Amino acid sequence: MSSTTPALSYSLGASLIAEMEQEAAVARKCLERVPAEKFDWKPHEKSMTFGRLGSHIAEMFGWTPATLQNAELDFAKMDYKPFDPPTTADLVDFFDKQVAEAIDVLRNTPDEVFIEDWTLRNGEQVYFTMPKAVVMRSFVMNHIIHHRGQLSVYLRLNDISVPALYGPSADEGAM
Amino acid sequence: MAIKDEFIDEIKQESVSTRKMLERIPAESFDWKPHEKSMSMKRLAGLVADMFGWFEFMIDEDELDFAKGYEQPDPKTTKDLVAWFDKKLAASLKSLENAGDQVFSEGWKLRNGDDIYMDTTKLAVVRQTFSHMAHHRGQLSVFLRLKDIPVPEIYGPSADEGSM
Repeated sequence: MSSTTPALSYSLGASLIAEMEQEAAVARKCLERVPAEKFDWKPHEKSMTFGRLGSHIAEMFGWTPATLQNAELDFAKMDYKPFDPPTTADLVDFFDKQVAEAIDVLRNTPDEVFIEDWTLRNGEQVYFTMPKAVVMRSFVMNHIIHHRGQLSVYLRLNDISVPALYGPSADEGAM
Repeated sequence: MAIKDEFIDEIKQESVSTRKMLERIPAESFDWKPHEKSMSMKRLAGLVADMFGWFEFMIDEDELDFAKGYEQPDPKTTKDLVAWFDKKLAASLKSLENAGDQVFSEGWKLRNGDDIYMDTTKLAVVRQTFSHMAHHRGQLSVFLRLKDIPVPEIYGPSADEGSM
């Protein structure tokens, strides 16, 4: 970033690290509570299973290096295999590795990288091109939070205590 | 790039799928809830709609004090629900458009009289509100699914709409 014409008024990397650490702490509390015997459960035939939704949340933290270290993600070039955790401990362990790597990459990304464009495509078909800062905020962070919100309903429907997220749940936290 | 620009882009983007979801919630489902401890469909959808208006008091005021009263949405129809959302979104956009960078470093409190729940900056609370919105809208997407209401594309395709 040029010192005379700053493109952003505050450090995006630093603010994203703080945000990710906070969101990850709550996500971990949710994932720790997903019992392996419920991994195949789903609330509706069209829904993701409990296990798949949990591992999807974990893998999404790993989209941080994919976003910041590349100019695009091309599904046509990907050999994607969803992580299928045998146990809750495996799920949490996978999550911890994804988060640690994401934070490490954020810490080592200079601010000017965040204004570079990033493209999501499937071969010739382009889904979007946006600055990396927007990709991180929306496609990664808000998207993780979206699925974690879904997971909180899965916990509720299985009578598993829901942790306090942004405020108290019906089970935990108080105002 | 002014700080507000990022937030204006983001709220516009987030509003598209949210409005689509709200438009699809029939008033007959307003009292439904998936679990006795859950919010009702009306309460959750009303909260999501209302949150799009929170930026108005987060930017134009220095605090929100529950002790002074807060008007909760109480839609009777789907149209009421969407109208609440539209009104709130417009108010937030107006406040954001008028917000200079310096506003975001001002302090902001959430309180109930003498009880202080949150004492932070306007930047932090605005930022967190986007996350908080995505959280409750995520919950709402499961409510739609459970009532067999088609789920729109949100960050990517749903099992009903969109393709990749």
